[in-house]
Amino acid sequence: MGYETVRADAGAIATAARLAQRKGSIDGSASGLDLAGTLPLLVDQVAGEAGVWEPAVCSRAIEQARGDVARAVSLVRAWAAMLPRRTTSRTDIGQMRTLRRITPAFREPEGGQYLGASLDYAQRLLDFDDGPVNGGVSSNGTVSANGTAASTYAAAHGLAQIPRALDGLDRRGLLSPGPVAQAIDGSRAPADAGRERGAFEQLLARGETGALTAIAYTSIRGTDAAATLAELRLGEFDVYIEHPDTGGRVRIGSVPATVAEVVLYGGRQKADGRLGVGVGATLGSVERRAISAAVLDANCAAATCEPAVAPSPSEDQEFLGIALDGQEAAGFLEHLKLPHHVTFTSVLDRIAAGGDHDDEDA
Amino acid sequence: MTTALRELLDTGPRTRSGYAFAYMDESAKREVRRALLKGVCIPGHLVPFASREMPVARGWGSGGLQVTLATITPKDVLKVIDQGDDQSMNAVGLRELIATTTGVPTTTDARRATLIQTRHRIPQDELDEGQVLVFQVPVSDPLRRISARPSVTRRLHAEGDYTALWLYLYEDTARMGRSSFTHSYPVRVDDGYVMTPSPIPRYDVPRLHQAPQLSLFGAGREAAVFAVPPYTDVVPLVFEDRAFEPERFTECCWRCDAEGSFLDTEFVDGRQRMVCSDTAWCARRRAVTE
Repeated sequence: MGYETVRADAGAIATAARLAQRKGSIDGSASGLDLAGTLPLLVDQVAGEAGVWEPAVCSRAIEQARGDVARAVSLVRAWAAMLPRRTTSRTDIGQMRTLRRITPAFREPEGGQYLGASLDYAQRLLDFDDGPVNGGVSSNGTVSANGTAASTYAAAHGLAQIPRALDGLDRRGLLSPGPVAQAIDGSRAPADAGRERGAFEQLLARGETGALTAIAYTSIRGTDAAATLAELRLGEFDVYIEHPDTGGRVRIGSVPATVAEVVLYGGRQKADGRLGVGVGATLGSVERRAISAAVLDANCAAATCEPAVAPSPSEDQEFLGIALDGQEAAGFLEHLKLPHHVTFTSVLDRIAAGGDHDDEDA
Repeated sequence: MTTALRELLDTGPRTRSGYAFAYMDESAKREVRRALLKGVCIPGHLVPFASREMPVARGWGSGGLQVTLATITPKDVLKVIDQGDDQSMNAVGLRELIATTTGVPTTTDARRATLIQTRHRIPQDELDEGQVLVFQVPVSDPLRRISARPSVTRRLHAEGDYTALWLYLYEDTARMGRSSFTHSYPVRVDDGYVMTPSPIPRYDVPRLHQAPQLSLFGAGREAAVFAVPPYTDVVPLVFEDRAFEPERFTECCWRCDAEGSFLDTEFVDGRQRMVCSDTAWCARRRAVTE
């Protein structure tokens, strides 16, 4: 059921909205604390910006931060910062247990499209009826997790996995992939590692939601290059590690994630004659995070191939490295609340001496 | 809550018994120490490090905190100040965090402390050999006002190219007859790298020159540390025919009558008074005279 063919009488909008309003995280499993049940997207935002998937801890952080997302992220990151990182796990988009997949660039992609849980097409009418927050929609999970539809479809069509929507164009040599991204954990590496695409993609994955959205928006609202969302997927990745004793492959759990791929035509890419590609991935299901990340990754990858003399913020990796981390931005902005009377004494002294009023951050 | 999660939380720094000594895990401490050693070996050089998220906000002393926690030992005696004041809110918060996760004794007496974390001041007491002074640094790069891009300033530092900074100073002097730098006055360290002394007032800058203590600087948000070893030249950037101008105070401290200390403005009974910014030093002087 490709979403472009959906009719209202098929009940798709209502079903998608009902799925989206179910209590619990995207896989339908309610966690121990209430917030993941009632405000799953808030929990997902905190998990995404923290880069830590532990919904119960995120819920706790939101409560202790009294709903302040920046502070909740700070609590979660500080908690996780001192935990050991034992190992890494590789996966790829084809391994995702897909719960939702749309391909705005392709009408009928191999593997199909699945609307999944979404409020995208539900009317935005504030509901004043008393009762459950979700307006009386059954919240006890009576709707089966339709993510199984994706795997069922794949199985029925003899596909081991749902392929990446861009695979076809890639095979035809129409994609200009940009620099190869190495897996780098920027939170455990010195800051100058941030110039690597892999570290940059991690920055995007953990970027502050509003900053990601705002800057990605500035780049698609009329710049030279046209961005097209090739694919948006939401689902779960199983996490496998090597068993320390046997060396065998062991599944230790799964993480929900949203992955977007954007192609870019024009602008820097024009001379290349191919499409630029950007990928954005984030924990949880706040989809604009992944889409924004993909747009910014595509811009910066294109800029790497063809550097601009005066890059715009949305294609300036160094600028984005400064602007996108919500913890750095919020922390430093709010440090203005700390006393500055000593430095201000220095400023007043210069003014009294007839100097100018130049000062700098302190 | 599931049992597994409860176990997970119990291993984290949630309860006091769950803390590692000095909060940070050992690999994080080692990372900071390595960077600091490099910094000590190359005075004034900005050393990048993997700055951890700390239980204080970025920009609120997270860099100084990491330096302190990575270097503190159970034998240390701790002092924490902000603007020279031991009782400033954030100083109290940081001191409590360090003290409760290490168990080290604290003091307000700069002479007794072996490790002092500070924001914006150097204690009024002259420090001594064996003492460590940890500065919280908001903007780690003295060339930031020349370029906002680390890739540019890194190259300028590497090439020892401080032309633009000198030009900036020259234009100031040509236009106004003096430098417009207020605090954070740029200094040349050991005749090599140009460094920010952190936002200490100009008054404190000459006090870094040939100082007997080890000065460590931590910028958490900007993920860099740097250092000035004991007895190192720290010279403000001034032209040969211009004197370096510290802040001048015509009054003495209203509380302790000190002359020549760094003063802060305070309103007492509706009247503006100039008082020592180093509150512990000021209090000690008053205790002696009384």
